[in-house]
Amino acid sequence: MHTDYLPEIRIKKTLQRQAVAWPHCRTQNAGNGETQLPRFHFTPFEMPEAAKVLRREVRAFLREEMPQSTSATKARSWSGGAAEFSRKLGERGWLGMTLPKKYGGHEKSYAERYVVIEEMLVAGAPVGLHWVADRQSGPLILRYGTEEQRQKILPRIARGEAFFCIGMSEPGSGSDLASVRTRARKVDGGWRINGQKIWTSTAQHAHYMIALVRTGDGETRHAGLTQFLVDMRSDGLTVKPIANLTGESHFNEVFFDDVFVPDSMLIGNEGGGWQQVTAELAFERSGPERYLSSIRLFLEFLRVTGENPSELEKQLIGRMTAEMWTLRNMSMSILGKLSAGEDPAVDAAVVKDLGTSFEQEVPRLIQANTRSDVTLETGDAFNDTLSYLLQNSPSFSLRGGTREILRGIIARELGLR
Amino acid sequence: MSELRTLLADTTTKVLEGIKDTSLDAAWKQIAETGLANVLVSEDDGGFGGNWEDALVVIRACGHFAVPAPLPEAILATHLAKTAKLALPDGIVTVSPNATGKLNGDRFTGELKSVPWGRTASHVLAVIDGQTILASKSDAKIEQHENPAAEPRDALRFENAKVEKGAGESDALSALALLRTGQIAGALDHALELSVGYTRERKQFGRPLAQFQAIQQQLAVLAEETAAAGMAAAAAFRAMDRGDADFEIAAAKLRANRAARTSTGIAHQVHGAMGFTAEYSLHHLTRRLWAWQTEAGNERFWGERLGTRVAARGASAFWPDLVARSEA
Repeated sequence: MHTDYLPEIRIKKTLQRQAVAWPHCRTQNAGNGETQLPRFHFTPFEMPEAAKVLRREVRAFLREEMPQSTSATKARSWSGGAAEFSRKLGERGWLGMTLPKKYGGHEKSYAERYVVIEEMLVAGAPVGLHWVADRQSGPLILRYGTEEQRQKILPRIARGEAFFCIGMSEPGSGSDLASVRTRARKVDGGWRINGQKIWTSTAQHAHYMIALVRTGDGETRHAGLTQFLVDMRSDGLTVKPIANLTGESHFNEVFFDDVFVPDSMLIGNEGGGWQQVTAELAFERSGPERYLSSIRLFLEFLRVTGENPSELEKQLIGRMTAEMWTLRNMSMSILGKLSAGEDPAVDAAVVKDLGTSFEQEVPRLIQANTRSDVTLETGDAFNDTLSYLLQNSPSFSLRGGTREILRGIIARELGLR
Repeated sequence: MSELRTLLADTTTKVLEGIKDTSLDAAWKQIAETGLANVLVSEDDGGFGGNWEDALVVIRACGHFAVPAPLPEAILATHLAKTAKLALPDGIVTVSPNATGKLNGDRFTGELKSVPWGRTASHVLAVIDGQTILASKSDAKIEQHENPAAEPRDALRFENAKVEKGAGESDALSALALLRTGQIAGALDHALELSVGYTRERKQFGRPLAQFQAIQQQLAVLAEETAAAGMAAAAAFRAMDRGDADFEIAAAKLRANRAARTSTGIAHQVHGAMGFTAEYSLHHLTRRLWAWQTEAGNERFWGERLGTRVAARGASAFWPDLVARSEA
């Protein structure tokens, strides 16, 4: 044993200083002798065998059935859509996978659903039309809906025939969702809705909206909110597309002018909308679509740089690979929690913020490290994908809960607020 | 958490608390007594019989407590020795990330650079052209160096020194990178705890710093980066248990380095001048986090290595390869 490496006094001082830190870590001890895990604990998740088998089937399906499209179209993936493709997925049993069989579902695991959507996103399949229904509306109706709603709607979701949109944001209510003012007034046999929703993606294609509206003025601002299943063909309901900065229209304004919704279409509890919507958002925030939005560009970058890229390009490829590898592991860790029946809401906020920051960074980094100019549209796969994603990337950290809201959720978990 | 991991976590915490007022000599004696360096050694051979995921509990704790002793290296030494079918001597055995020179039979002439705690160790394991050797420190001429955290990183020169030669091939640099990702994850856990604790106590403008949104948003990022580093490390340690972990280690070191870079900045910013003092303990973590980013390969090194591998496989193999790493 040797002690000649540092003067004794220096070691002692070092160790004493460290002692200052230790009481803080002790606060992490549960007091029962077991060391408590850090607050955000992500553990690797092992895909079950059934999911691995399914992945091969999905890949084979995509080789046959993936519509011919350009790389830039593929990059749209869950922002694009094709009704025919949605129905094919329904036929294969790949929509409403986790729903009970008696409602047309397939009683598959979350892991199997995860594998399907992961492969669809990477392939750039046009999954946008059924996306909301499959991801959150179906599970929401199963959990909070009436028996009649389940029987009527869920089989159609599973067949790829019922598309949904989410009626949350309003002109005065973005991140401050609890301030919604669209109101439902009780009438004989149902409700009359008046007001306006905005930024409603795919409203122009949807059959139903699940709308969060005010039915009363409770003691707190979160009370008095209720969710309704609104038929998009209802009288008095108008959809007006909004062009985004690229000129395309994905999101819409939706106007409610005395729209009648029967009592049977109220979801869950009157006044229980806030709690239901919070549960719904956990589904909305936890999936692989929150880090894979730019993968088509990454693959294009790999294609154009070829087998022997420059040192700079290699570094960029290496770094982005490391990010994707880590994000995939984190995303699958959340899948593990969902599978175990845990509530992953806070972890989902962590992964969504990291994931959307990454997918937003990809086009910017590639732009900074490519030799070519970026032009609006040239027919060149790399250019067009880069051009599309550069312009669309601002939405990544807005949709489904802004970066700032997510960080607020994390800060609350840290005990800061 | 498994029983073994709970035991390891408790033991590690206790022994590290115990050494706070002793010399390193006594500290190492206590560490050696607990047998923590033998976490990977089989129970038949007097170890814990743990795997790399179990070892992560100890190595992460070494980062958390900024342990001034080569415990992670000692753990790695048992693994490299076993792989190379070498018997380890008593005393502290460390591992060299960087060996140059020539092996002539069982005689080694050359230099081992950046040897962690080289001056304190009794022996060093190194890999020359894929071959593991065990050299005795007493045969070396030592040049003392320290990393920015004042951890010994010495150069050991050997002149025709007799060494033990092992069997098979090993990659010491990659294995050391694995250790550092585990330590980075642990140090970040602690830096986050300190930052949260400090901002909840420190008041300005009549309220705790933690109540300012600008602070909350920064600490959320610190928590996210900490989680990412922890995940990357966990995946790499798990891959070690399965065999080939080159991909996972490269990815983990890249991700952990990035997390360290971002997080040290935030931790210091929210601590203000207090975090910059010698008195306060944050620098024991942050100076190590800076040092460990360079050690066993920085982002340029691992980025190029991982990028070369991915590019060689081409665009169409990228996703299937990535999935296969966890679903083989």
